[in-house]
Amino acid sequence: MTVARTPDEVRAKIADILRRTVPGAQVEGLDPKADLRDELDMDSLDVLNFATALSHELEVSVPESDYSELMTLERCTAYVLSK
Amino acid sequence: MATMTYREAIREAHREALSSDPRVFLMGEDVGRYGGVFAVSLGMAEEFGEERIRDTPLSEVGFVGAGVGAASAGMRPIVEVMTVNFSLLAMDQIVNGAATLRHMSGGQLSVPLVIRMATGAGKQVAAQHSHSFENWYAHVPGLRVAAPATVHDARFMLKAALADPDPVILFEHVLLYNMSGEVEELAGPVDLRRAAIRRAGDDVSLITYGGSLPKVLEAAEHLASGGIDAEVVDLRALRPLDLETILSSVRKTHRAVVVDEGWHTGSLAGEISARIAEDALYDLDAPVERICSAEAPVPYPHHLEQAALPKVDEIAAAAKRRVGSDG
Amino acid sequence: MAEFKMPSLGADMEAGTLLEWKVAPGDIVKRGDIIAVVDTEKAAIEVESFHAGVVDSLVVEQGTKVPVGTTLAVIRGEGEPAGAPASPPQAAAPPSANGPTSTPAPPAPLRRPRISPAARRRARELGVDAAQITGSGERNAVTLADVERAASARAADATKPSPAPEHPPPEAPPPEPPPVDRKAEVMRAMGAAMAKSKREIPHYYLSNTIDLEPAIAFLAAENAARPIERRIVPGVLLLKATALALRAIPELNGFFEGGTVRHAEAVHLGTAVSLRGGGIVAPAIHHAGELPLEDLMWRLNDVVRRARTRRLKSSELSDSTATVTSLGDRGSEAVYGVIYPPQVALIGFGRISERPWVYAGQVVSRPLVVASLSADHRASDGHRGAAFLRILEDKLKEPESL
Repeated sequence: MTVARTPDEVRAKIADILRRTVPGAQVEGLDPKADLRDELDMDSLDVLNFATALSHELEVSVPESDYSELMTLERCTAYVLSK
Repeated sequence: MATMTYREAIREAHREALSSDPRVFLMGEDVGRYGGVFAVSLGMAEEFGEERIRDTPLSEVGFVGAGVGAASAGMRPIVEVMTVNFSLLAMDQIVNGAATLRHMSGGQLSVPLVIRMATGAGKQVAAQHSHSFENWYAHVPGLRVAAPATVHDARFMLKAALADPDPVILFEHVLLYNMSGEVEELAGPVDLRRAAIRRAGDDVSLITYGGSLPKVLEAAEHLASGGIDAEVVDLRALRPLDLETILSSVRKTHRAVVVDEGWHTGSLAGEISARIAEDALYDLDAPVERICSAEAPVPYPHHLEQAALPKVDEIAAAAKRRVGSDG
Repeated sequence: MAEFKMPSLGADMEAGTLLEWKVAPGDIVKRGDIIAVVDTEKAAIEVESFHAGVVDSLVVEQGTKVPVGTTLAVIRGEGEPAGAPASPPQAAAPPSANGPTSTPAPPAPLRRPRISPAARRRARELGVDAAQITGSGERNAVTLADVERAASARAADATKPSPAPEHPPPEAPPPEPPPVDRKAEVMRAMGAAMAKSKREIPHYYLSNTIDLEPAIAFLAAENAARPIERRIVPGVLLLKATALALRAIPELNGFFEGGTVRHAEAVHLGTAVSLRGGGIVAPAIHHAGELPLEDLMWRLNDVVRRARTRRLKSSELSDSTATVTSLGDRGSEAVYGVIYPPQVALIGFGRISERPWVYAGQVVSRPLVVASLSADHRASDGHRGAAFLRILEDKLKEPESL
């Protein structure tokens, strides 16, 4: 059973997870279409830690092949909502 | 399955060997008319005749030497030496003779000799009949040394020893002769290269051989009732040691207690401890402990004799110490 | 009586600021205990004691910047009287230029902690500090079971879901760094070390393009079977293969100092971590070749996180025997790095990318990586360097063996 959630709630949660998993990340004002790896200087460990937190806290399972789906705010939000 | 005593098992082994190979004969002090000091060969002189069950003069150096000669000339002699204590008189024949001849003749001579000796204490026969010198022989390249510790091994080790082209010494602990046990009748010869796991367990390896095996198995039962799952390794082969079995047991349990009726100093238990330290140190979760006999000639009085030898409660206590559950 | 001095935490460090004392006079310290936090140009470092004993006195006050080699505190051994003068009184030693090995030779510790050999080995595999565990064995010896318990307790902590945002993060924030332009300091320190390297070390460079198809396929299968928090990134395979190849070619694993090469016995792999906002640190992953992949992944994540939150330990900055720089999936195709003195080799990995490759007579698309070796020609030559890259390639082609 998944938690009912609105796009705004999901976006806020993603921003919150990014702030914690990528210390020092400037999440405010990020272009929703920009690649997070470029914007936030994320490496593969950051991506994995982000996906792990996302999977635990938003109760979505994220196979490794889907990591690339998480790499902009817009697509990440859509991905979570589609689950 | 047949049930018999250790003594009967050895006798059966002799009867089988004597019946199936005309080159086999037994000689030693009182083995013929008297039936052997431990009654192993009782009735065999009548069955096989004095040619093949030969009484010898009281001269270990003489009859062991005769065995070396007969073996190198093509016979398959079994020489019974009454106790390992007396075998010291024949040590030159065994160590300088039997053990070296293949090497010194460049492979031209072989000595397919089997020497059986009683060993060990516990029958109140005092120091000169009670010592355990197995490790003196286990030190010597050119010899194979083994000790049957179960009735089954007593039944089938002789066959393996006779099949070996080199001298083999078999040690029979005096307290085992009356032990009863089961024998799988159709089993083949015992593999003299292999130790046997007599009880599987995960918490501590109790490594022993010969007359100490029953004590160790009893200690393992006590330990089991206290929640400690001991593995019992019966060396069987004292030379060469089956390090693979010993080390893999220690690698599994991470703890070892070695039980050996010899004295601590220079003991077989010391050799085994050293091998474990050399090859399995990083698998050890506690120091290796040895339970050996007190460093004194084995005493005559019963209570002192018992005090000097490895004891069941002592073995169990050592295992508990090593597992760290002695409170 | 032993003096605890401002350590040299890298070839580029000349001075450090004592940020915070973690001990007070009278405290008992063991070898390896964190006793102070020191701010270098790069980061705030938790400095470990090389001595065991009792803290006699703290010589330098918090907030003071002193040259490498300056006595910071005096530690007396067990049984030594308090207040005896540190002997002989010394002026601050000149800054040491020889980096990682300039730390003082450790004196015999007072008493080695009772840790069974098996427990010690397991603790190293799991990255657990066995000396911190209370032992349950004979005379309080730390046993295998104690180490396993400590590791599973830690794993349980690590896999707990992240706390709700209103809670503080699990680790206390690092001490507030002094108000310096850290970016400029980091660039200056890195520049000094790299200038020294290029001035003194006769570099040679080799590279091989390696087909990572087997490694990537292996990892995909592994990760598909793992819960997300236990998945492994490809960089871990590269690190493990590098550590194993270094073990095979010892000329590349060690130091060049005072005109001689010294091969290191263990492989402690320096792992270049880029700091957000600029700069690089390369903390050591100790015994990298002996860690199972999962543990190596854990150690990498841990060390990267601490590098970026400036919580590294001094041993992690001084023990590396060779360094790896891996550009990751957003980097360039290849990197030919600058050796971190006094080490003698730097191994670089470019971006893993799908490119054409001839396989079984066909041009096919495969994930490729350019592995490069920058090595000190005083310690090895191209022949051995090539052997290293060949072994590295072999290891990566058999990922099951990693």
